[in-house]
Formats: sequence, structure tokens, C-alpha cells
Amino acid sequence: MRLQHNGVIVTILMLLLVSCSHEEEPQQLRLALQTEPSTLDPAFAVDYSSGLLSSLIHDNLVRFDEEGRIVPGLAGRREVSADGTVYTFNLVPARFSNGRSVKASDVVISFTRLLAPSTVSPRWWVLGAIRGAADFHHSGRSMDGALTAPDDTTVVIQLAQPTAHFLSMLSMPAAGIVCVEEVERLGEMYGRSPCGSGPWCLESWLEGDKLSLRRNPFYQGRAPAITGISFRIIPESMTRIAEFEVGNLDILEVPRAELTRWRSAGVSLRQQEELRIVYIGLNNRKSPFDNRTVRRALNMAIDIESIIVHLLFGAGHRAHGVIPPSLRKEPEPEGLYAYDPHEARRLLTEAGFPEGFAMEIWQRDNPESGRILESVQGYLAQVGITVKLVTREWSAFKQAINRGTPDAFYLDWFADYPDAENFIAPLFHSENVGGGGNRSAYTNAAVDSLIEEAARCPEENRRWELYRRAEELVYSDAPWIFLWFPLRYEVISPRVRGYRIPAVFTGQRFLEVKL
Amino acid sequence: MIRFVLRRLLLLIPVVWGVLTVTFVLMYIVPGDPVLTLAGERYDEKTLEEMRRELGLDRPLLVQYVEYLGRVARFDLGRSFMTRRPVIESIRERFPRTLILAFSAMAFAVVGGLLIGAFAAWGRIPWLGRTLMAGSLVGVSIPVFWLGLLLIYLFAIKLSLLPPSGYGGGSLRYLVLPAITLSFASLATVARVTRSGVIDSVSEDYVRTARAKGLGEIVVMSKHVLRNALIPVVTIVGTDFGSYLSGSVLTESIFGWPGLGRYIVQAILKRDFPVIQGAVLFMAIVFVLVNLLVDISYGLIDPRVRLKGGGR
Amino acid sequence: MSSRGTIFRRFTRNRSAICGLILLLVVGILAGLADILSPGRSAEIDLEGSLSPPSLRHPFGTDPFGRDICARVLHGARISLGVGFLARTISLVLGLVLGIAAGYFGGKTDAVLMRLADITFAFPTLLLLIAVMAVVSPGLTSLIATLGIVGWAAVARLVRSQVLSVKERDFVRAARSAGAGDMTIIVRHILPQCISPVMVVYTLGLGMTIMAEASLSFLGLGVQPPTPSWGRMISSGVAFMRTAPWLTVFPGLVLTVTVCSLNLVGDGLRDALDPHLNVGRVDTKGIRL
Repeated sequence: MRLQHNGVIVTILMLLLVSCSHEEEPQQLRLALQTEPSTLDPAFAVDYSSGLLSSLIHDNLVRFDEEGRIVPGLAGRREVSADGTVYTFNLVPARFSNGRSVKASDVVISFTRLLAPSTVSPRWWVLGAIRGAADFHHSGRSMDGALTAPDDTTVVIQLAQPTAHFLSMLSMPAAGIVCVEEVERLGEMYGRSPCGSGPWCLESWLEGDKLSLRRNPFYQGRAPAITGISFRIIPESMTRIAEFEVGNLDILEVPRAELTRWRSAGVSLRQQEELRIVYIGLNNRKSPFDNRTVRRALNMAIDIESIIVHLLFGAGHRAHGVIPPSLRKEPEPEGLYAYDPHEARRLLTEAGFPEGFAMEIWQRDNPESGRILESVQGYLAQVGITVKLVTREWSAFKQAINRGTPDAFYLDWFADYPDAENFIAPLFHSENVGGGGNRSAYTNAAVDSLIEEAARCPEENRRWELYRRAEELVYSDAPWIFLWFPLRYEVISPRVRGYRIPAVFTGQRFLEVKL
Repeated sequence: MIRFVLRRLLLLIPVVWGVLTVTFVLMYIVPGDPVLTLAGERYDEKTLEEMRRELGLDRPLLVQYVEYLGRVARFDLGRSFMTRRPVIESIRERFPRTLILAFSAMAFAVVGGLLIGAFAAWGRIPWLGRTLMAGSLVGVSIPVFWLGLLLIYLFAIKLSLLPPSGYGGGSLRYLVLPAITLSFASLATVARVTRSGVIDSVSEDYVRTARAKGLGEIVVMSKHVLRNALIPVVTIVGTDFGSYLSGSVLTESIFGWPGLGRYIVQAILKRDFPVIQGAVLFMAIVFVLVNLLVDISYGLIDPRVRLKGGGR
Repeated sequence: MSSRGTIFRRFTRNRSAICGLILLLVVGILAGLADILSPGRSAEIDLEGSLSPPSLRHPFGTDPFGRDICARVLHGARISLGVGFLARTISLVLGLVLGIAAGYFGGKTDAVLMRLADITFAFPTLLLLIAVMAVVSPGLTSLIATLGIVGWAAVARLVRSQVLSVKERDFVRAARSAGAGDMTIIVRHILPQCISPVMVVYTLGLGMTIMAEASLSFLGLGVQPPTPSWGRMISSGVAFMRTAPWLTVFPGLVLTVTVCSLNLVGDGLRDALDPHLNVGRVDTKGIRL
């Protein structure tokens, strides 16, 4: 290396220190994502980021509003037959972001695509209630007119049996309507340049860095007040906080460890109950967790309220059941499992474990769950149970809990749609053991039949009553250690108006947001 | 020289084959399954099987292995299971960013290290020299994620001098903090080697001669002394540059830098086999090539070094 | 080569190396006395006293569980230093054996071993680590094993080059013509010549390994709770950097001071053993993330 080269390096250094232009557009809402979406194709969007963005780009027949109610989307009007099996949707005039108008055949083709065996979509079950859908998916047998478009604006869907939560399913990102020509033209790459009829369309996607959306110029509704939304991909939460503090982000989800600071900072801190439950699943197939008394004892051995105060900084409600308070039609039931280590010890003795036992609790690598489980470990030690914490990264963790390897595992469940069904059926019906959602392998014939009856039940109050009874059974059987319903906190930059935290993550479409 | 380069390039083949094979074997021993990430939540075993079949994961391992080697031989790295993007496209997009970060980090380390080392050797203000040397040593001894976050706090939040994170479309302001963070790993060594190199060569005859000729201190320092001290610095720059190029997971995560390091870690966590294989292969080749370049550059800088495997 | 006395004198004249050595001894003694200085306090959970700032009762403050950070730093020293020492020892033994084999026997052995080293260098550590963690049960053992395994190549390369330069020296030739077997030559003549560079690499690599443990903790791959290690303490304290900085500052300082001292001692050793020793630096690829 010669000295002239040093000169070059010095020049570069000086260039580095010279500040460059500031290029942000003023009408752009600036948000951050922790993880990058893997695809924007509705048929393959399974993670949070993918689902969020794909639902901003695509429209559904019906969708959720900010409060989680079902409101018309592409379908302005809908009729349901008296027996609850035939749904007729009338489409409003709408256009894809390439300018072509949306026809009823687009809906049929989008849905057929989701179900088709050749698509291999992991989300085909979203439309599984359609008559013949499962057969079509597994063996390619025709659905025989269950899904038709009699004219350009009408879609008729026939179900195998009345399904009370069918409209909720239709609101999920997977049921988004895609532009058929684009799907055919792009094939596998559709997920990187999607074309839907939603309020936003993809402007640019710099892998690992930033996604930008701009208004869909052909959107049928009132145009959004802002011109675009940018999503920076920032994996590290401390970095996201820094970006918000210097004014580069407009909305920030406040991590719980930072809550005290933001509470006292005098900024507008919004709070929203998430449709999510956090629990420690017990492996109901394995001894001693096949013993109900042991499971109940475990629920009483941990001071969950105290953990919520000190480790969650108050950001959660203790769960006395599995259905979040906001989905209830009546006040929450009394808790059965007050913190009582003596009673827990007594129950353990009664179950034949006076000396306690050793168990493993598995977790995925996450600093917060680590904190929580360390304290759980401490509480259980006081009743004689020695806990070994096992951390696995997500893929290995998921495989293990699907197979039922761990004694217990720390996990949460996020609602796809705001319905009690979403908390009871996947998590506790015996046919969903494993990957279906019932990782604790809880089986109870009474619960199964209540769930099945409720799914068919057209009458709202009766349906709720059935779910409530199923929940009661589950709660007293204690297949889990029931922990809490978390609260989500966001700080909003003062320049943003008209934003609220949605109840369901796809409920906020940024149409009313102003800067 | 040419024979030496050819020989080394030939050696690339067994190394690349080895890396590929080890990667392949590891991916299949390790628990976890790519379709579990692809499936999200709520799926049945049947759906998983369909997805495995579609990705070709249901075939015997040996078939998959042979097919994979065949594809690599045709320079086809395949597509990501998750994003369906061709792996080579993502690498083409991300590698320049990793390269520029590695290059700037190296530039900081070399310039900073040379200045600190030379200053300390010069010895006119001993306390300052010692403090700087100690400072560089502290830099290499701080966990990189902590250092990165401290720098963000200081320069972005408190002093509002630089943006906290991101790539900023290539704007240089965004490069400064991650580059400094990464550079600390080499800075202390460069400073140390420079210092001892300078101290050694100050006593050499030609430096004395230069001094006797009445040349200014700075001229003597830069023209005669530093030049000589540069040789060992090249070794350090070479080896470290090679490892910077494979991406630095922590620096990239903290600063949201869209480089290769995060790409491969994400792929490992999601079991995105084609991406893991492609990125590992690419990094292995780059690593070997950089080392080759370093070896060649020894020969160019220091005529005493003879390259093995043929005369020059 | 210099005599032992000269080496010792050279080392003791190096003020920063001595400084480093003293600091290391202090850390070592405190770690050894952790149980006496703060018996049992590192695991005591007291949620009511969570996140209290440094005070007389808790000189380094408390963590979210109300555990005394000072006590945890002391106990963590054992884990962090232990991981470092054991992992380095594994690298050292592997590197010595394979490096000597490669250098001494040459030919095919050499070619195969050096290609293996190349592969190790070119391979992403993290992938290997996840693999080992998954196959062996995760935790201290697999952490030590992996960090130990990835470090072998650098040691082996260094040892090999040292062996190559010693192999053809007169005293080795003389021994060989006197009828000494390979084993005898290796143990009597080759091994002693490798000790100095290896000692330097060992000390300098120790610092890097302790750092690597910290980095891995940040990625969620370090030791398992409730075992305290400095790396784990820092990485789990990062979320509280702004609200309770003492969670990261104290373990961070202790870690930095220790790694600094190790580097000082390593550099001092190198200068004392042979200022022109061909240990340009420790090749840390494979450990750095």
C-alpha cells in the first residue's frame, strides 16, 4: 500500500462525514416492522408482517374495522340463506391497482386458487367451510358449483353446513382478492409485486431495508389522506426506539421494559388489549401432567399478578379463562386459581407428589419470555418442583411442541379474527392436537361436542353460551398454566392524527390518518 | 505467480465441496423444518406433506444432495423457500452493501489505527499516546451489540449528529456508525502493530539518514517510517476484511443494515435451505478469494516473500 | 529463543502487561470467593425489590427479579471465565495435535488437515452453533464444545507453520539420525518449540471467546437461565438500557476490563517471548460474529 492510497482513504473519510440530503416525503406515514414480510401473496402470507401488508394491498369481500367488527369490503351487500349455507355477495364497482375493474370471476378464481391442490397454500383451510373445499384441495375433485359467479357482480358461495364464523374467515388476509392476469404473469414472483384492489399498492421493496406503499390510484373508496406509508425493517427494539426519538418514525410499539419511561415522559401513550393469550402449555399426555390435580396445583403455585406488575410493568390482565375480556358478552368469571403455594403443595401431595418433581419448560429465544420463565422457575421451586428451562430457536421449538416432546412450553396465541371460536376450537378441540393449535394435547369429548355444536349454531347468544361452557370446562381442567392477556402500548408522534390501535391487526388501513 | 494463483484456485474446489457438504449434512441433522415456518399457525400434517412434496423435501437425502451439487455446478443457487426469490438476486443486492460496510470499517480501522499507533510511537505526548492506545484496546473489548447501542444513544439521540440506523439508500451518513462499530474489532490491532513497527524502524539507518538530512518530523514519519510499518498491517487488514465480508450479524441487526449477515441468519432460523446453501457457498468463495488476494499482495509489497507453488 | 529468565524480566518490565495480570488475578480471586462474598444471593428472587438502583445494600443495583447484580457479576465470572478457559483448551489441544500432525508428517495428512482448516474458516460459525446446540442439549456444554471446535483451525495453522520451521533445524535432524522415533521427536523437540506461540494465542483467544459468549447470548444462543454469565446479563439488560442502565453497565464494565486485561497480558507475553515472533495476530474468524 502506498501513501497515495492513504490519501484516497482520507478523502473517503471526509466524504463520509459530509452530511447528505434529507429525502423523506412529508405526506408519508413512517412505520417500522420487526421482521420483513416474506411474501405479499395472500395465499402464502402467514406471518404478521406479510399478513399486514398483503391486507393493505388486497381487498376482501368483507373485512374488519378498527374495532374488529365485520364491515363490507368488496361486497357491498350480502345475503345469507335461511339455513345459513348459501352466501350471496354483491360486489361494489372497484378496480385493481393496474386499473382493471374487479369482476365476480376474480373472486371465484382467487378463492379457487387458494384451495387448488397445485397452489399448495398453507392457508387453504380459511375457505375450508365451502362445500367440497377439502376434497378439492386434497384430491382435485371439482367443488361442483359451490363457488360461482352468475354475473359480473354477484358471487354465490355454498357451505357444507352453517358456519357461524365464515365471514370472519373471509376477512383474513388469505381470502384477499388477487388480480388474475398478474398472478398468471408473475407466477411464484407474485408475492413480490402484488396487484390488489386495496387502498394501497406496492411502490418499492428494498430487501432487508424498507417497503413503501403508495395510494392505489384506482381505489374505489375515498382516497386516503396521506400519500404513502413506509415500513422500515428494524429488527432491534432499542434501535426502533432511537428512530422514534429522533423523529424518523411516526408510531412506535413501546416494549414493556420501557413503559415506565414513556409513561412519565408525558407523551400520548395509547393502550389496547391485544386479542392474544399467553400461557404455559402442559403436556397433557405425559405424566404427571396427565393428572388434573397436578395441573391445578401448578396454576396456584405461581404469583401471576406479581409477575404482571413487576416483569410486565402492568401490561397485561391475568387470564381467568381463555377468551379475552373484549370478546366476552358478560363480565369475566371468578378466578379459580389464586396464588396459594400451601394449597398447591397440598394438591401435589394429594396427587402423590409430596416431594415435587422435575420438569422442563421450553421456550423460544426471547429475552422477555426468559425473564418471565426465570421467575416461574423461582415460584415452582418453592413448591418443590425443579424446573429446567430449555431454549430452542423457533423452528426447532415449533417442531418439538408439535410432536409433544416437552413437558411444558411457554407460548401465546394470536387471534386471526375476533371471535370466541378462534380461542376455543383450535386450542382445545381434540382434532387440532399438534400443529392445529392444541399443543397441550387436551382432549375432552364434552368440549369437542360443545365446539361442534357452536360452529353450526346460527343464533349469536346461544353460540356464545356454548363457547362459555366449553371454556369453563377447559379452565377447570387446567390443561395450561393460564397467564395473561397482554396489553399493547404505542406512542404516536404528535404530527399523526386519526390513528388508533386496531383490535385485529388488519383492522387499521390508514384511511383516516392525517399528518 | 500465475501458477500460484491457479493452484490456489484449484484448491477452492475441495474447500467449496467440503463447505457445501457440511452445510447439507448439518441442515438435515438439525431439528426444525422449513415447512413449519411456511405453514404459520393452524395446519394439519397432510398440508405439511403437500408442502414438503412441492419443495422436493420428500425425496431421499442422497437424491437431494446430488441434485443440489448438480445445480451448484451449473451456478444455479435456486430460489428461497420463503420468498421464492432467486438466491443469487438477493445476494447480488445485499453483497454490495456488505462490501461497502466492510470497506468503510476497514478504512476507519486502518486510518485510525495508523494514526494512533504512529502517534503513540512518536512519543511526544506520552499520556495522550497511552490513552489512545488504551482506548483502542477498550474498543475491541466491548461487546459489539452494547457498543453499537451506546453509539446510537450518543451520536443519534443525544448529539443528533447521525441517523440511528438504516441503509438510507446508500447515503454516507448512514454508514458512519455501523462502520465505526465494526472497525473497533481491528483498530486496536492495527494501532498496536503500527506502534511496534514504527518503533522498530525509527532506529533503522535510513530513518536516521533522513533525520540527519534535516527533513521535518512529519515527512520522516509519513515517508519513511509509516511505509515500512504498513506491511504487517496488510496482514491484519486481509484476514479481518475476509471475515467482515461474510457479514456481521450483530452490527447489521443493531443498525438495521440490510447486508449478508442478517440474510443468512434469518435463513438459518427459518431453515430456508436454498438460501443457507447459496449464501454459505458464496461466502466461502469470497473468503478464499480474499485470502488469495492478501497472499498475492504480500508478494507485491514485500519482495522477500516468495509465493509457494512456483517462482515469480 | 531467549532464556526463561530473560522472558520473565521482559514480561515484568512491561507495565501494562503487569497491570493486566493484576486485574485478572483480582477478577479470578473474586470469582473464586463468590460464594463467600455473597452466599446464595445471586439466585434470590424478590420481585418487590426489582430494578432498584445501586445503593449500599446492592452496590450494583438489582435486576428485574430483585436479584443483586453485584452477586450475579461475581458468580457470572465463573461461568464466563470457565467457558473461555475450557473452550480455549479444547481448541488448543485439537489445534496442537492436528497442527503438529499436519506439519510433521506433511504430504496427504497435511493436505487433508489444511483443507479441513480452510473449510472451518469459510464456514459460518452461527450455523455450526445452532447445529451443535440442537444435537447436543443446549447449554453450557454445547456452548463450550462449539466455541472450542471452531477455534481449532487458527491454532493448527499457527502450530503447523512453527513445526515446519523447526522440523528442518539441526537439532531435530541430529535426533532423527540418532535413531529417535517420531513420537520422541515430537514430544522432546517439536512440542516445546510450539509452546510460546500457542501461549500467546491462548491468552488472546480467551478474550475473544468470552466476547463470543456475550454475542451469542445476545442472539439467544448462550447459556441457559438462571445461570448468570456476563454475556447473558448484558444482553438481557439491553432492553433496560435506558430505564435501568446499571443492568448493563456493571457486567459490561467487568467484561471489558477482563477482556482488556487478557489482551494486555497476551501482548505482553508475545513481546516477552520473542518480539519478532511470527504471531502477527490471533486469527479470530470463526469466533467473531
